[in-house]
Amino acid sequence: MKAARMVKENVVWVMLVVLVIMFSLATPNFAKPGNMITIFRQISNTGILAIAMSFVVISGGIDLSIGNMMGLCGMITAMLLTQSPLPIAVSCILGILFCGVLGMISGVLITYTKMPALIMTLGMSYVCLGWAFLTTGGFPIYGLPEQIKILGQGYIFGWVPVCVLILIAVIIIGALILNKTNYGRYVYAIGSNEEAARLSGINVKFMRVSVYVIAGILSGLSGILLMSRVNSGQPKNGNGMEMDALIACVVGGVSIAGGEGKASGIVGGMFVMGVLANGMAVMGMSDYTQTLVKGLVLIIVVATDSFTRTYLSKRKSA
Amino acid sequence: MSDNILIMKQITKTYPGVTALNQVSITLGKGETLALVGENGAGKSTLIKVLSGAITPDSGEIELLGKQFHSMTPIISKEMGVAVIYQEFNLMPTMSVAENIFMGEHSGTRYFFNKKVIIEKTEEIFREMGVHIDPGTAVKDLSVAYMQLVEIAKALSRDAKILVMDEPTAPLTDAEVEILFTIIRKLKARGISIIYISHRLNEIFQIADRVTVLRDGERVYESNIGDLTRDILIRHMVGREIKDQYPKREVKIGDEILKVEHLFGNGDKDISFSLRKGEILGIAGLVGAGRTELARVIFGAEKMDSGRILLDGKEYVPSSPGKAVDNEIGLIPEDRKNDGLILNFPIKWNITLSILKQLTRMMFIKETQEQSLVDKLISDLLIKTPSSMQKAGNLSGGNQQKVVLAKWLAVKCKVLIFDEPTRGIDVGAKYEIYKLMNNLCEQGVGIIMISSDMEEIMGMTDRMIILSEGVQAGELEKKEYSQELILSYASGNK
Repeated sequence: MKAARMVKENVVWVMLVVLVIMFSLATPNFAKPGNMITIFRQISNTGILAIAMSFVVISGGIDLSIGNMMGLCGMITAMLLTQSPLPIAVSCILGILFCGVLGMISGVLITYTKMPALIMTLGMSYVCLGWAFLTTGGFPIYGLPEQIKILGQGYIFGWVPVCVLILIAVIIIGALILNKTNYGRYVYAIGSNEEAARLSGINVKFMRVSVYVIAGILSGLSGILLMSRVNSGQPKNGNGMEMDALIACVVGGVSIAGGEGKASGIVGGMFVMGVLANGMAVMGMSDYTQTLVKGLVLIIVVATDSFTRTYLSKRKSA
Repeated sequence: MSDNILIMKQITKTYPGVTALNQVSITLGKGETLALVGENGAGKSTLIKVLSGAITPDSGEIELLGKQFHSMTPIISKEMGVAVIYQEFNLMPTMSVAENIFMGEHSGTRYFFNKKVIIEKTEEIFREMGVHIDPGTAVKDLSVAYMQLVEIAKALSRDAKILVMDEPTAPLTDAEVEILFTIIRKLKARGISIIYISHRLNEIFQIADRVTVLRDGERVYESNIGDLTRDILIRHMVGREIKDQYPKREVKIGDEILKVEHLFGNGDKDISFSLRKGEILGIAGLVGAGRTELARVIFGAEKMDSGRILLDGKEYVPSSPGKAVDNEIGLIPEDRKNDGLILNFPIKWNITLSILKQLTRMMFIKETQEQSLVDKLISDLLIKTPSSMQKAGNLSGGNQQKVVLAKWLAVKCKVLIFDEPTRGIDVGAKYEIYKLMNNLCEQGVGIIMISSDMEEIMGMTDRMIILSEGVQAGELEKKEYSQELILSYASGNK
């Protein structure tokens, strides 16, 4: 029983170690320091998105709009940067706040109409994608100011990517909120048992709306990093990334039913996904293979988790 | 009755800490109507579940139509002709009456379902029962009474020999009850045996041939209806004299702390009472009388339609549980597993959930302070656990309830509502909870106590109001308490 629990709690780290060893043996290019930094850089977008997703999923909801919201945020910020006299920082902050507002709209509609979060955010996802295309009629926005590049492409000390620092900051702040604040405790509470949380005096409606606002803001941040990395506003930026974020969460031990999940596990989850994508790319596998493998990993991890869970509960009741 | 079609012999079923059934035996003759009575928690539904195969007894024998069983399964039970009609109906609301009746039965050709056949068969059953329902109507369009008739028809379509009805008249109007009784009499005449569970004693005298009384999981009395009076029946239901199982308290009752005037809402109509410091006010009544509903309105979990609440002399509008907590009103809910606790949270997190805001600095939880508060409550309440990080779901019922109590003690409530605080809890833990309630009274807390356990509510409270179908049927001072009086108020006789 102990062994089973150990495996269940650490399955993501075991996987990560196995993957790293496997890829290191398979190709000499994988384990080089340069590639390690590349991995970090590659996961910065989905990583931030995974933290966004984890707040929503732990609270018992889901947000499928955060991927396309990244693209919309990139388009709007790019427009502000190229067509308005606003300073760069203000344009970026407006872009992020705009996503926060979109998140709030999702949150309010989910909370007050009691519609399923899955449907609401699926709809919002399409709204974001369509809107992103409509801003320019589908064309990308080029000609961003030089300084914006630093976010997605810049380095500090010559080797630490700025976007990785931002990811680390988001992870640390996210983990602190989830583990050390009353807000974080309430997120777990409403995801575990909404009625008991409500009857304990927690303002469940405020909590529900707020997690979608957080998800929107983080999605906006991630969108600006991606815009900066590709040095343009692209309507389809971020499209599909919400699924990578969701997979990272689930692989990292976040229960899709809500109330469960640790920040450390989510970090493990994003690295598993990042290492997997990078390793396969370094080995020269196609995008298609990568997509297929991601799907398999999701199935294997969740199947293992569900199996050990039923196994544990059977042992307990026996 | 010589030809018993059902004999349940010495059935015993225990749960951790509770003996639900202790060597209970009942018999049922062909065409006989047996009334099963007893207070809530007496073991009636456990016994029925043993018969229907929903639970397996620890020991005992069941003889059904001459066949011996040690335990039943839902399938065997159904095949042997036992049909149970629960209070919550087992019908598919969007499907037609006929489809519901023949749900899962094979009719028509091999692969196709023949609508005409089932409609004809349904009409035939209804003709026998003497009711007129269109077999094509969707069940959701029927009234509750008719839904019940559909359930009965469903049982008849399966050739039921024993029909068990659990509080069948609870949702019915008087006229509908009469229709139901006519049908029951017809079924009896056809040789169908009926086990009838009801709190309404009048009905039992109208319909039953024999009465078996259960109390605390034991069969305490049995008699033919002809040899029985209402008073005798009540005496046996309520049972033993009240012993000194409720700790005494010597508390000076203080000023009024809560006053409720003409409260309407959540199904309750025109409720008025007042509560003073150091007092325990009981809310008595049958299941479904609107007691929990009232508690939830005062706590802000449900909307109040009209009325006035004064808290410490000031007008108080119960708009949300959060506001109740801020105003130091607490509710220990009836369903502790779903409403009282977060089962996958550790004890510590459960205890501090309501006061976490006060335990933070700049949003961050002051962990040492949280830990010391929790440790103190765990030792004060004698919660038995290896660690404060133990998940609440792993505790016994009594300890779980203490965790819920600890949560509200942490809030330091002025008014605390206990909704069935000792349900499913063993005797030792019950006593500790009573003592704790007395302690709270000494500290000047005003307590509202809801309980279906007649002895408990009489033993613990200073005063009580009695609800019946959402209406305030009576109010009694401690010296006026008598079980007969409370029961008759509760059953709406006055």
